[in-house]
Amino acid sequence: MERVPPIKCIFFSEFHTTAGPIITYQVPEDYLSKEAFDTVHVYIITKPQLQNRLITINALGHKIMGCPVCIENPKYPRNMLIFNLCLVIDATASTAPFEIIVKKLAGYLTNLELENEFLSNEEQKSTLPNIMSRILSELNMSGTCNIPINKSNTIHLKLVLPHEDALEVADHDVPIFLSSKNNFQRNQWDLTTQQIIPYIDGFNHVARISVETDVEINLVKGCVQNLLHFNIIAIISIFQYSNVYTVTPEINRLAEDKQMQESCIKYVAKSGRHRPSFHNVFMLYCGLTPGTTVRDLCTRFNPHTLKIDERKLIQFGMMKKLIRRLHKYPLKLPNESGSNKTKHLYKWFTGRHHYDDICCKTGLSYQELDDRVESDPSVVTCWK
Amino acid sequence: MWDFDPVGIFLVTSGSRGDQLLFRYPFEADGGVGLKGKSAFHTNPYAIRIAEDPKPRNSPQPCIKNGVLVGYSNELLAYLLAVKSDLCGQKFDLTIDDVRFVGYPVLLQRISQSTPRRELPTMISFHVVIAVRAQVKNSVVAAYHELTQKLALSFHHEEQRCGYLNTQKNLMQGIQEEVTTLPEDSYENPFKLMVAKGSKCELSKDLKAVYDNLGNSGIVSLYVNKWIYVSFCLPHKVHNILQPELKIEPEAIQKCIEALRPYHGLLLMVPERQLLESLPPDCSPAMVRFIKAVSPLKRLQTLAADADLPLGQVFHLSSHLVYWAIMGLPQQLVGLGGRTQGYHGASATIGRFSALWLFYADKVMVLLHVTFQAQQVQMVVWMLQRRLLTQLHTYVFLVLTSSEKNQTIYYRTHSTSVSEDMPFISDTGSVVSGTSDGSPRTSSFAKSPSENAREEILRRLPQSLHMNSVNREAICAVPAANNLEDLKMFVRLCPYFNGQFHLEEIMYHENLRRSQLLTLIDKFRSILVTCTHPDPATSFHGK
Repeated sequence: MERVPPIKCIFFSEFHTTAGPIITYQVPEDYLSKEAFDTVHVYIITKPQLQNRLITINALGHKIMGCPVCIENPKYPRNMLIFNLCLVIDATASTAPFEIIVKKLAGYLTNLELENEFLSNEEQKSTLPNIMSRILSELNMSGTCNIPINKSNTIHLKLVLPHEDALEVADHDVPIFLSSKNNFQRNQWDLTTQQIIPYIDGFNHVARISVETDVEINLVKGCVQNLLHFNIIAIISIFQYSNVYTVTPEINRLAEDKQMQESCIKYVAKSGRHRPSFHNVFMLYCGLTPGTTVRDLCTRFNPHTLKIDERKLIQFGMMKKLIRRLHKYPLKLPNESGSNKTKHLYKWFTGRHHYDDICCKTGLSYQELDDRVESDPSVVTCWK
Repeated sequence: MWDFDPVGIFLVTSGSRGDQLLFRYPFEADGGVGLKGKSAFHTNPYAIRIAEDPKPRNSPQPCIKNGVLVGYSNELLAYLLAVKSDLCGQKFDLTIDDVRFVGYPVLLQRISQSTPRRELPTMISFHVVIAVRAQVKNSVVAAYHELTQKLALSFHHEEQRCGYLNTQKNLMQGIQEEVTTLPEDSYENPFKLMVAKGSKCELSKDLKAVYDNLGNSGIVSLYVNKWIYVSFCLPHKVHNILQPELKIEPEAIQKCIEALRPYHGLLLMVPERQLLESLPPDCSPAMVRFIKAVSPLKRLQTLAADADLPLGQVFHLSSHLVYWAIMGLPQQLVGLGGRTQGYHGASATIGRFSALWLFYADKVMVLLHVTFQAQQVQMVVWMLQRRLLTQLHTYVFLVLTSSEKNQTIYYRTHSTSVSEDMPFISDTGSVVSGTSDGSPRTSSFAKSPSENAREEILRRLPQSLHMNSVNREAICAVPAANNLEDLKMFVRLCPYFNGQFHLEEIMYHENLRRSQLLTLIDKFRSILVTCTHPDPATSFHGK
């Protein structure tokens, strides 16, 4: 997991009725000088239009993140209370993990003020430096903190790294466990995931799992996406002898990494007793070129005599991204009439859908689709 | 619409008359639409008030609509962007929710606190700012920083040379004041007037042009005050404009430039004439010569000779052009180049082509004809220009398998230099003992002269191979190893057989012909494994 950059300083700043914008409390003390604050205070205690917005100013070697809050009420000296609790991080650090924290803290303080006059009551306000230093040390140490303030309010914070959007899972994708299924703590997961897990074996595709487990396909996709996000499974393609794969530059890793070689040999062996030689395994991987189907590879090298299981060979290669699948995309040429037999399939022949996709959507088998495409002169195919 | 397109460009000054927004583009009809203290919901006295609003109180509205910054009034922008003098002369970076302001403020005159307000100059500092979406990558922000800095510095220079900025400022202020005196019904947006035809506000027009060019092509080329040339390209955009799906990152471009080799060929992405016309008049004559000599059929080495330039300069020029996306990324059309130089037969070239080019995207063409035609070169060039093709390279691995325990030894060199030149400390003892107990073939016979010669050659093997008798044996077991010449060649090429070098690179380094290399690989095929994949440095397709 990527390391979260440390928080350098937390300060509480407010609009003082007579002194204007000031830093009221700061932990550690004097991290940000008064001059520095005066330079940037327009972005911290700012115009009311910008309240409740996350403002980050990168200046003077710091990134200062704050969310100014303005509470209007006639009970305050200037009819409003303006404050901002800011985090300071390194100028080069990423702000992404802290954004939510700054917002949340602003929310907590607003609530506390509205409920208990936490900020306008000097006595209560003086506990703030203590709270701030706890937030600072606990977030930097463990990434989480829970600080009870009073009977009804507790500050809960957790640093969460932003993650990338979940990958799309298609009907024809095949999930496969990255490590042994036995290591998997099944009862931690929700019921649907528990239900589909027995069917994740590296051969069943999503649509099939949905049918076998009688779970709605979108639910299956959701579970698979979730497992994918936690790096428990990988997505590979349906194994077919007509598939074409090609090696990726990652193959160098296999050539150099002794441990990976060892696990590879173990994985692709036909039976536990007879270990295939690495030379042969490597040769088979390198034999995967554009234009060579798995069937061609098998006839050329006969993996069975080499004690290699070609299905597992492909699985391992896909899991470790040593190889990638080349898909076949049928494409209807625009200026030709085409035949009636395949007309209903033309909507798929845009160059955006590959064979697996079309087969899954239309229920045709690979062979049936291939025959139709082959017999229609107005459709060409493209491997990519 | 791209994520990294700017959403606004601003010019702010601060001086004795306070902070002023001199120019903004794109201009809205009215400032301050979205950013209101209270939502419109509460202003309607008849609206039902929900006592407990489950949503957070007046959650802010997004400030970018249709790729344009909205909701920031002119006053607010002036307030935010007219910075304190401490922040001048360095990069400015402010993020407010979904908008990031990137700029470079410049201090024109340093003033002390004691200066009476009356004596303050009308312009103390100015600030050129570009607003982008907050989620853009840091590299985009860095690029915009560079642009704003270039603009700011050129404005500064012109101000010092001839008071350009002040003149322009007065013009802009004049227009703004003019508008305020107009009757209400004939209100015109002052910024619109500034960029209207016939307006004298050159600066406003320039800034508008910068914004428009960034949005259209990603390339800015501009003469500030018809004097200072400012040129800039947004690498994120220029490289992706033809094939938006590919998403080529500038880091990849950098990697690619570093991977430039003398055997690479270059491909012009724009027509030569158009390129020559677009060059600034003061551009280096070497560049013109270089561009005239460029052809996808030539390798850089040949190019250097043709353009009569040192190879180093050719490298600089080509990396420059690659960065600006005028040149295609180094694609090796050496196959073609080789052919014109008569390196190998036509069928071999075509064979390479048909096998090595992966057809990409929805353009399908058949390149499998054996006859080599200029038209097909054209087709390949066309597809390369649109990046529809990936080039695959052949890499060679030396994978040895000892017979005993199916134990695999993989050998990898640690230095890329050819070990044959290295002084090798011959360890005769270990060699003798290694051969005597390991290989019955050599131990049972007295060493013949050829045997000795073989030992001599094997001694040149890289250390990790040489020291291990099992490895040496595996090499000697290949029938071709009996031929001393072949063995010699094999040993010479050994450092390249680690999957890091493709055939073209080996050919270049060792001055070999493709046929020679292929024959050797074929002879030693029992211990050499070849595989084809795209070069990680120059390829962006590998999914």
